[in-house]
Amino acid sequence: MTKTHVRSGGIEIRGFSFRYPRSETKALDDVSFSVMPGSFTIVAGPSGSGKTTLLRCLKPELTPHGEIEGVISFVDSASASRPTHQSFHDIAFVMQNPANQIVLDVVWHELAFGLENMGLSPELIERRIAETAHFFGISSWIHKKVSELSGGEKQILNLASALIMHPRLLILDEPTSQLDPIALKQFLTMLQRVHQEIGTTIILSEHRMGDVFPMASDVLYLEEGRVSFYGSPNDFAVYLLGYDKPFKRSLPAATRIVWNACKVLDGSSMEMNKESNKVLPLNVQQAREQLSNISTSLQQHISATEALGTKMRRDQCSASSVKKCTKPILQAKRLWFRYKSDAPFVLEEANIDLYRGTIHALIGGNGSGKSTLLYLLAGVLKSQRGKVSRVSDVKVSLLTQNPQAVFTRDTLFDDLMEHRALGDYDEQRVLDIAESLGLRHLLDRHPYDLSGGEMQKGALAKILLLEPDVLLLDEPVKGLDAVNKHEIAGIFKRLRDKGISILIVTHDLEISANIVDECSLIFDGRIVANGETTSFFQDNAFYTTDTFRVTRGIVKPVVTMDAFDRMLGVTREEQGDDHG
Amino acid sequence: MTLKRYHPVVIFLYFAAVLLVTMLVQHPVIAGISFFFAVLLKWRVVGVVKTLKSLWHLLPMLAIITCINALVNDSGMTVLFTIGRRSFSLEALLYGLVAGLTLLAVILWFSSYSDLMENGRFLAMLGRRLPVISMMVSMIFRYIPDTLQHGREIDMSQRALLGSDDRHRKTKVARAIRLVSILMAWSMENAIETADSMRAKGYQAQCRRPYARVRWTLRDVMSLLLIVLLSVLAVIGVAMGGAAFLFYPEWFIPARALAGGRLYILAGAFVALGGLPFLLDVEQWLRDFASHRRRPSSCKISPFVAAMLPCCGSASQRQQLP
Repeated sequence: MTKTHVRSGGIEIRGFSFRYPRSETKALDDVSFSVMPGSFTIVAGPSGSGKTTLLRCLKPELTPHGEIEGVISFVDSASASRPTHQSFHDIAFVMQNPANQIVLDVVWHELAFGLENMGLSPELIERRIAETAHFFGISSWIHKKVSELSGGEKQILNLASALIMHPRLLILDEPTSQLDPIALKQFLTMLQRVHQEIGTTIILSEHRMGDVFPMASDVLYLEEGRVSFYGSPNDFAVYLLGYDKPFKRSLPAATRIVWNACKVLDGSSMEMNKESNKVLPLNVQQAREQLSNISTSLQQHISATEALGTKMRRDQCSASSVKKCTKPILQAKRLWFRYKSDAPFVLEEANIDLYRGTIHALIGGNGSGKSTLLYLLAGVLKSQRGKVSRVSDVKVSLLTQNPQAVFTRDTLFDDLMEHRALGDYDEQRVLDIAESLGLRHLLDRHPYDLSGGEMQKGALAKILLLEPDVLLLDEPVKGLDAVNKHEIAGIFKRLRDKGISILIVTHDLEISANIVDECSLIFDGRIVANGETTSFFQDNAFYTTDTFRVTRGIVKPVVTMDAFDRMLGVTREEQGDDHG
Repeated sequence: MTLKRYHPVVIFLYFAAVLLVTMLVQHPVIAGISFFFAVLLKWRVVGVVKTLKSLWHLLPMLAIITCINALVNDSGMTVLFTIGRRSFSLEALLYGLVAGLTLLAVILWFSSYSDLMENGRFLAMLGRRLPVISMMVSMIFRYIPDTLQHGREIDMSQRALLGSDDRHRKTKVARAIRLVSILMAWSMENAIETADSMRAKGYQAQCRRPYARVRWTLRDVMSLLLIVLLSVLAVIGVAMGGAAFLFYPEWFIPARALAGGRLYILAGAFVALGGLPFLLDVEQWLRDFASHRRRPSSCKISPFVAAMLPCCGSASQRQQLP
C-alpha cells in the first residue's frame, strides 16, 4: 500500500447500461469500450448525453444509485489484462466546480487529506506533499488559505491533491468549464505534463475540443447514452463534420474553416476523407498552412461567389447605422471606483455608451474591472467619481455570473412567478416566456436540478419577465458547451431585434464576434479600445477570433465562421438554427 | 516574531502560564509587569499602528474601571479628597487600577495569542488527539469565507435583477430571510459535491491517520523547559505568599511576602517569563547577525520548504522513470 512508484491502469467496459431510479430511459445504454493503460481519452457529447454518469460509474465510490447492467473492470498494467482489485486511491476524480471539491482550509492540509485517508505515515505524507508541490509548482502557496486562491489555482490544487495519491487512472469531469481562457490553458498544460511525464491514464470529459485534441489519443462520443463514435481525434473531427452533427461547433474554428473550404472546392466532404486520409488542422498555424495551399482556387471561388452578389454587406451595416442617429440609452461617463477607501481603484475614467437595440460586448482579462463596471451600470454599486446616466423610464436589469444566485424558490415556475407584482405579469406570460425559451417541460423542476444551459435560460426568463430595456449579463455563456452557447446567442439576437439593448461581459471571442454589434476592450480600469465588431477584431492581433487569425492574409479576412461561409456562398442552416 | 515558529504546544503553554499568573495574582507589581509585556508583545506581533489602535480602545476602559471602583468603594484609609460627605481613597483607586490593568493585560495576551496561533496551528495541536473535531473545525474554517462570499453574491444578484436596491425598503427583512434560505439551499447543494470529493478521496476507508505538519525540535524542547521552570518558580513564589498584598484598609505589603525575597523571586520569574519572547527574538537576532557576516544576503525560506528541498530533486526523477 505504501509503495511509491506509479503504475498506470486501464479500464474495460462491456455492455454497460445504467438507469436512474424512477427514470424510464436508460442514462447509459450498452456502452462498451476499453481504455488502455497510459492513454488519454476524451469523453465528448452534447449535454445530457450521459458523460457525467459514465465517468461516475467508473469510480466505484461515486457511482450513483440506479440499475446497473454489464461489467466495468479495472485493468492494471502490471498484471497484464487481468482485472485486479482496486482501492480508492487507484482512481482519482476531479470534478467541475473548483471550490466545492476542496474539503479543508489550508493548501497543505488539503493535499494531505487523501493521504491521511490512505493511512500513510507522517514522513511519507510530508515527502509526497513536497514532491507534488514541486511538480505542480505550487510550493509557494502551500501555507495559503484555500479561500485566497483563484478559481484556476483551486482547480490546480484539486489536480495536485488527486495526483498526490499516485492514482493509476485519473478521471476529470469537465474540469475547465468554470475557468477563464488563461487558467484553462494553464490547467491543461499541467494535465499534459501529468500524462507525458508520469504516464497516468487519463479520462477527461470536455466540451472545448480545440484545446484538448492535440493531447488526446482517443475520443469517445456519446449521444443519448450510447456510444456513437470511438476512435482517434482526427477521425472524430472528420466524423462530426462529415455527418454535420450540431456538436461540430465544439471543434476549433481552424478545423471547421479548412473543412468548409475544402468541401466547397472538392464538392463532397466524404470524398476528401477517403481521397487523402487528410489530417485536419487543430490550431491556427496548421490551418493557415493548409489554407494557403488551396488559396488560389479558394480566391477564384470567392470572386465567383461575389460576382453572383452576396448579401454579406447588408447584414453588417444595419446595426452600426442605427446607433449613429440615436442617443445612448445607458451611459457611463468618467467612472472611478474602488471597493474600499484604502484599496486601489478598479476603474479609472471608464466610459461606455449603450444604444437601443444593440448588443455590446465588454471583453478583457481577469481583474480588469469588467464585472465592476456592470454593477455600476446596474446601479448596484455607486461610483466615487463620474456618473451613470440613463434615459428616463429605462429599466436596467443585471444577471450575475452565477445563475444559482438568482433562484429563490423550489420550482422553476414558482421562481418565475416571484416578481409578478413588481413586473406586472401573469401566469400566461410566464408560460409564454418559458415556451419561447424552451423551458416549458422544466417548470416543475427545482432550479438547481437544471443543467448549466437550462439554468442560464431559466435565469434569463426570470429577468425577461421584468421587461427590462437594458440587459446586463455577466458571462452568460460561461461553462456552456458549444451547442448551448449557440442557442443562447440566438436568444440574444432575438431580444436585440425586439429593441432590447444587451451588454455582455465575456471571455468568449467567437460568440462576441458572431452576435455582437459593438465591442469594448477594458484593461487596467479603463476602456482602451472600442468599435464596431468586425473592425474591432480586425484591428487586434492577439485579442481576436481564430477565424480572423486563420484567414488573415490568405483570403479576404473575416472574423466569424458565418461570414466565412457567406463569403464561400454556403449560407444555409444558420438562420434556421437561431430561430428554431 | 520568532515565537511564531515554535511548536504550537510551546506557544499554548507559554500563554497558559502567563495568563495563569496574571489572573491568579492581585498585585500591583505583577499587574504592571504583565500589562507592560502584553503591550510589548502585541507590538511585536501586529506592529505599532494596530497596538496603538487597540490601546485607544482599551485605555478608556482602564480609566472607567478605576474611576468606578474609586467611586463605589470607600474602604480605603488614605483619603485623597472629599466631595460633599463622600471621601475618595488612594486604596480604592489603586485597587481599581490593578484590577483594570489585569483585565487589559488578559485581553491583550489573548489577542496576541490568537494572532500567533492561526487556526491551522491550533488544529495541529489537536490533530492527533481529537482527529474528528480537528477536521470538522478545519472544514468549518474552509466553509465560512465561501459562504460569506456566496451570501454577498446572492444579495448582489437579487438586487441587480431588479435594477437597483432602493425600491424595496419595506421588504428588507423578507429579503434577508429569503437570502438566508437560498444560501442554505445553495450550501447544501455544494456540500453534496464536497461529500462526493471526500468519498472519492477515501474518507470512508477505515484506515485514516491524521497528519500534523509540526514537529518537535530541540529549540522547542529547550524553550518548553524554560517556560516550565519559570512558571514553577513563579508558582512557588505565589504559594509561599510572595504575592500577598493588602489593599484595604490601608495598602501595605505583609512581611511574609518580603521574607526571603519571595516577592522578588516571583517578580523576577514573571519578568523573565513575560520577556521570554523577546529573549528568543534577541537570540535569533544575534544568530542572524553572526551569520550575516558569513552570508551576504538573508534568504527567507520557511523551514518546511527548506526541509523538503533536498528530497525533491531525487524524488521527482524517480517518478519519471517508466
